[in-house]
Amino acid sequence: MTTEPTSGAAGADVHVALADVRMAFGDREVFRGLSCAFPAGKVSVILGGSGSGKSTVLRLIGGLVRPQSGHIFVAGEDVTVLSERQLYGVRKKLGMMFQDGALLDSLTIFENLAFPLREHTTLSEHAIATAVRRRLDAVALTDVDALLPNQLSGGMLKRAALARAIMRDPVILLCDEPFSGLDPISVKRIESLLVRINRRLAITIILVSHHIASTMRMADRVLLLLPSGAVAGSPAELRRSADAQVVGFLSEERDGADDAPNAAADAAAGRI
Amino acid sequence: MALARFVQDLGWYTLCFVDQLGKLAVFAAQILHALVSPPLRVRAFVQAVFDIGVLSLIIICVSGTAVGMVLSLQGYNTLVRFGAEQSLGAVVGLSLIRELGPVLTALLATGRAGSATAAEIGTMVATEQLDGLRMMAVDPVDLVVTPKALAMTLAMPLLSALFIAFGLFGGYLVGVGLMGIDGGTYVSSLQSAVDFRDDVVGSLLKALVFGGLVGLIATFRGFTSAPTSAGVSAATTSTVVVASVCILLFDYVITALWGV
Repeated sequence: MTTEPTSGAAGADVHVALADVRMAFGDREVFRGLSCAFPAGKVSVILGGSGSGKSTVLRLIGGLVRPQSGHIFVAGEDVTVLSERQLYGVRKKLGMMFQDGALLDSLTIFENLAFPLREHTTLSEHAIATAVRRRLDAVALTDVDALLPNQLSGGMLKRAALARAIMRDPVILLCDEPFSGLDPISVKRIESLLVRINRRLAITIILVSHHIASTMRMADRVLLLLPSGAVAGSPAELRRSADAQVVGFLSEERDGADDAPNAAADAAAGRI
Repeated sequence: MALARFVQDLGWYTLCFVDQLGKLAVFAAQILHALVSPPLRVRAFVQAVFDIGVLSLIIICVSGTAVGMVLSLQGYNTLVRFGAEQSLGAVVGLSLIRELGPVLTALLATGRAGSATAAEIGTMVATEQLDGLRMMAVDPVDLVVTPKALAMTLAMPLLSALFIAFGLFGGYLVGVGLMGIDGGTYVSSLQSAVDFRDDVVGSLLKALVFGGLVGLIATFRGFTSAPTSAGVSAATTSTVVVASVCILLFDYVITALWGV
């Protein structure tokens, strides 16, 4: 990943690119001139402290919020100049897994997963049911078809949300904090699911995470949002970085958030 | 200094008001566009009619009966002073059909269904369900807002008619059963005073306008609410307040213009 590409003609291997993006909510400026690119078919992870704008990057890519200035290229189209209706064309290529699932709470899990197919395809109910079963199997969810979202545990909800996000085989999958609030076993399960989806379907995955350990395991590229600006590179490059802020962020997170999952995973594996 | 501050605040509130009015107009245009564009959301519309109409039946029927009874009692006590108690049917009927039916139904529906609509849509905003729809290339105005606004608009005249019917029944109960007026006199007085086109159709049209107002305000408040629990609460409260005031203001305007 680079922090500078972003002309209109994003390279062939770049699926998503932000060019000189300025984003502010009221008086609070989140980004000033952010430029970065996410390569096609790879897993890219956005890291950063709370309030650094990680989720905002995903919402910018999806066109849910508009920047004050700059350009955002998604699969070759500049989403900043598209109308809401034109954006729907781009969004058909995207899948998004929201932090809290964002499943429709009045529909069952089956209906939630069938929803995008019923909306955008002419598939028969039988074909839709088959597709839903396949996706539920892929995320290792069984006997949840008739349940409502509020009847699922946090981990199950995340997996159901992931299943819905990939229902229409998106070319770009956006995941907002897929590991937050999960036990270590669920973290590992979703991590391996995402990697499998990426390898099998060659989907470009961009995810926001706090988990350094899982990030370093699964990411091909990492974008680290720091107060001084964005730093991008492969996990190995970031580990070797001499930048004090990068070193500080990685070590702080390693000492904090990642200890619990690792300890619990060890416990689950009988090592403790 | 205080005057300058007052003018400044007044200017600010005026700007905010105009801004909101503009957004409301755009929102209404989006709903109208969704109404005439495929796909037709029949299932969502039927569900909304059930939520807004069917679930409001009890409160409408009970309130209608109670208002009719009170109206009959008050009307009788006034009319008897002038020896005109035979006109009780006309007084109760005209009051309910021309004024109280549509207005009270709209106020009751605002409190029960309008606030629920705003809270439901506001909760969908807070839990990112509407963003989830957008990311699935589904327009939330088309799927969520339009069926509810349309259901509110169409259900209101029906609820109002029901309110009036139960009001007339309540009035009959008190006037005939309690005060001893002849049943035939009550009904014939009602029949001769009420004109179908001017009074009944006018009343239903009034209710239709109120339904459109409540539907638009409730969905707009929910749709534009802040994505927090406080935002949902504020949207619910403001729906009841704004819609109630608008109903009363529009009632005056419609009465002045249409004579209904």
